[in-house]
Amino acid sequence: MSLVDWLPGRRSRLTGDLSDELRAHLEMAARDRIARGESPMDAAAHARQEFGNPGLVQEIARDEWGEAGRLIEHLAQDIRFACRMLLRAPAFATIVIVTMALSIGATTAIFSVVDSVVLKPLPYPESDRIVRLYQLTDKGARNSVSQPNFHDWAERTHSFSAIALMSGWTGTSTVETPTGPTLARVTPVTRDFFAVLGVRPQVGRLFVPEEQRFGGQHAAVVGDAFARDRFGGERSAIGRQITWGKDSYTIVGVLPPTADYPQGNQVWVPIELLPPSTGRMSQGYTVIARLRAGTTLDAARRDVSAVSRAMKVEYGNQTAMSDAMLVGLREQMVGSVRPRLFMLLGASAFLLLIGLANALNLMTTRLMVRRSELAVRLALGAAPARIVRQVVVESSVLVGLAACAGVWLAVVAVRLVVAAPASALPRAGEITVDWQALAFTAALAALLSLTLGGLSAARIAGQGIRDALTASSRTVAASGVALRRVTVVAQLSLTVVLLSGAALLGRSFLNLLRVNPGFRTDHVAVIDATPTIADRQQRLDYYNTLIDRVRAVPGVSAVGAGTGVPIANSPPDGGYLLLDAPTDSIGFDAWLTFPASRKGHANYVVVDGDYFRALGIPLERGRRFAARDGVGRQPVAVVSERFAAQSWPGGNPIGKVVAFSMDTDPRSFTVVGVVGDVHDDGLAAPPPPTFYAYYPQRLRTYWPLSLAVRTTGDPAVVISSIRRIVHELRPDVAVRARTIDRVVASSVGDQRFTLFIIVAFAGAALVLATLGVYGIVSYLATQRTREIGVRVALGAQRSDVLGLVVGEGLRLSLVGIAIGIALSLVLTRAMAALVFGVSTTDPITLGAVTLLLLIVAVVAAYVPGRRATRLDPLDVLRSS
Amino acid sequence: MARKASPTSRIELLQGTLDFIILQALRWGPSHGYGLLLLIRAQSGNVLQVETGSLYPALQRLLRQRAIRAEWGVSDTERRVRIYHLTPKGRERLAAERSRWERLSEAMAGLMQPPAPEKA
Repeated sequence: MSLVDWLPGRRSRLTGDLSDELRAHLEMAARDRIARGESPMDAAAHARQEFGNPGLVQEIARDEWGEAGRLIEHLAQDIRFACRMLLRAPAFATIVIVTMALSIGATTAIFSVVDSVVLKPLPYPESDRIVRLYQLTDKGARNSVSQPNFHDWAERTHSFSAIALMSGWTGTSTVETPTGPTLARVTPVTRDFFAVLGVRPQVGRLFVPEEQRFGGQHAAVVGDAFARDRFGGERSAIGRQITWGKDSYTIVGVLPPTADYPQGNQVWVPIELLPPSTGRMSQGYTVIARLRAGTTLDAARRDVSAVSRAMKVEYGNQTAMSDAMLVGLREQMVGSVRPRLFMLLGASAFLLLIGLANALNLMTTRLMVRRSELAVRLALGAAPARIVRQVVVESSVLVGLAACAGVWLAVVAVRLVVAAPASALPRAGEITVDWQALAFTAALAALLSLTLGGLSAARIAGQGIRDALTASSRTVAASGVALRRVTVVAQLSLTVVLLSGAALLGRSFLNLLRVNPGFRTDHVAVIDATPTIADRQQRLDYYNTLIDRVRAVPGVSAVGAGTGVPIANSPPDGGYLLLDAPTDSIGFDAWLTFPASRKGHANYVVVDGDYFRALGIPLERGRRFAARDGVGRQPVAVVSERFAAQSWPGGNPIGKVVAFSMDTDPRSFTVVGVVGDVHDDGLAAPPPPTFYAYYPQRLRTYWPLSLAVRTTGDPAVVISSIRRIVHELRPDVAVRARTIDRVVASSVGDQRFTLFIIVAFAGAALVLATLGVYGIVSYLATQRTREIGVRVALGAQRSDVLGLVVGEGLRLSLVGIAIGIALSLVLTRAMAALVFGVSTTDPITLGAVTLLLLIVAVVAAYVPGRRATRLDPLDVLRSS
Repeated sequence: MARKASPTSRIELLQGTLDFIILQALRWGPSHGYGLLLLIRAQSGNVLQVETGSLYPALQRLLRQRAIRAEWGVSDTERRVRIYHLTPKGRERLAAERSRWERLSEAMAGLMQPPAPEKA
């Protein structure tokens, strides 16, 4: 027979042909007999008698179709039979399918996330050659790069085919478009930026030299989403004008949607159009590069390091760079989430094992119920191999259905993860359940089917089904029960690990929420409403008017503005000097000649209005800014406690003089007050030292201000009034409004997301483990019904019986928990980077987990145990 | 399958012989399965008893070997039946089997003859 014959349609036709043919044969034989004078009824009967068994004839004839045909035939039969068997026990099938589907779904979803985020290359050609470069300080800390250092790198290194610098500012700013203002992320980039990424515009062109010089033509390249949202399409965006800062730019090109670097960036402009930054100390830029073909990462690292160390020798104190290093761009983007995601993948694997153990228990219980059926089939001549195959096929049908449901669940779950803003995963837009994930799931399902079927078959084989016909329930084959015990112990120990992991992350999260952020997290709205006003005085007037009007809104109790709002908008940071006396012109030489003991590094925030009052940052010493600190007066400053402690340990900061190099204003500051520390870099990080300047005195600052608005009622009510005020004041300004509790909550979104998933896993594991303990104790109790009956008849007390049954379950639980604790101590060590304020071997956490599981185990064992004590010994003995 | 005690006059067929007999019977013209059964029985003088359980598997085997082909037709009694034809390949095979069978028959006949008296 040819391969074609095995197509389902062809096959059923062949089978139909054969049975038609045999029917015709019978009819003709009968007709001949009638012709010879037999009665029609006798004729039919004799013809059949002579013919033999038509079904068997058909089957033997079909056997001629070959071995492969028979296998397929039998497989189809097995699958049909398996489906009938499962339909006959819908509760069993449902429980197995649902538990397996959940664990397969969880594993598939997390695999998809890990694969898309961590494992897949970035969506650029030969993206593994794209690297990010960092300056290293003398202490080895990674820093951003200054423009002069970048130019030296570009000239002196030989490892890169392209190297580019871009602004390191990650915030959004107002972009005016013909369709109204919008907040967008705009990044000025150097000439080779697109060559480093290897992206080409889908419409239009990239920048030309005329656009890449100071004072040249202003041009911009925009992202696909920006072009669609603002201009209704890629083509219609070309040639349109947008305004950013004080300048107008013509859109010359639209990038494809895959070009998403820096993440979320929508507008790219030539950095060469802006005044060059000539300070070798003026860091804050990001540098990326593409490795030349044939250059390894290590070789490039050595090259950059050698060049940078030579630069240190050459420039000495003029640069803060002692060395340099580079990392793969993907590593840089996803490195921080990798431990979290791998931990979740491990957790889902554990859940899968627990689900498998559960299915295994249910499957063997089911087979025990069916063992007389299996025995009859054996007695009627079914080959034992065929029975084993039947069991494997039944498991495969179960696992197959579960895998289909699991993939569906994974697709839904992944969609939720991508949509959830709180998950804050890098490359979230790229996450899909793709064919690789499907192949992974298929392989997983095949493995699970074979394991489940194989182990179940091994168990019933161990039971010796042939004996089952004669055996009653009191004979228990030891091997099956032993395997069952191992399953329960494994289930419990894996559950302990999952619970410990969940408990550790839970405690970390609570610790995180207990951190005092140093500012009020309730009833504060953060408003970004940055105008495109070039004139400093006009900008100050705009902010003053805005602050006054917002202050007048009913329900507003304080309004502040600042170049940073804790956690919401990170302020810039920079170096400062400790001076002896105020000066109007701190010289450049001072930065080179000052000893390290009189230099420092801190966050720099320029504030206006009631900034500290609005955010509830407490004043510790001295005073806040006041109206008398006028525009023309000697600049004053307020510092955080940590700033005071690192600059003047043990001394009084009030009246001290500081020079900060963050704007082009050469005047020094006099400290007038000390305020409390704030956790600006997130709750888990220590509060950075912070320096506050007064906006009316530092008008040359070029960072946009954010408003912090303290309200007496619901901030959401006030936000809509503020939007209206901004619109009346400057219709061209886009408003972004957030409440600070939301901002703080989303800053721990990563942790919350991880915690949510692992708690869900641990919960599911706990339920499955409970079922496991319950299952084995009731099973053992049933197996020992007769023994219990005899014991009761001989005078055993209920408590003795209870002890007998429950004791067995508890012994297994204790073994499982003990192994689990040992495993946890080893495995949770890998979570060191994920916990906060708690040790990975925290005895209280492990103790609580142990206690919880013990209670659950006792309850799960007690219920069937209690049932065993209710047995009437007479009933039991009579029935057997 | 209940098996009737065969009369001693009937011979059970050797494995492989049946294929040859079917091909030989089809040499007289196309026939359906029941017709083949009757034909074989009649031509062997009721000596050869072919069971349906052997006939139909043999037909499937020959079909697979492309020694015969089958098509649906109408019988003398207006019944839709499956009719088997000898293919060129089947004829070749028949010729080969025939000569082999003749050699076997000669050999058998030789064996059956009383041994020649040995020379003293």
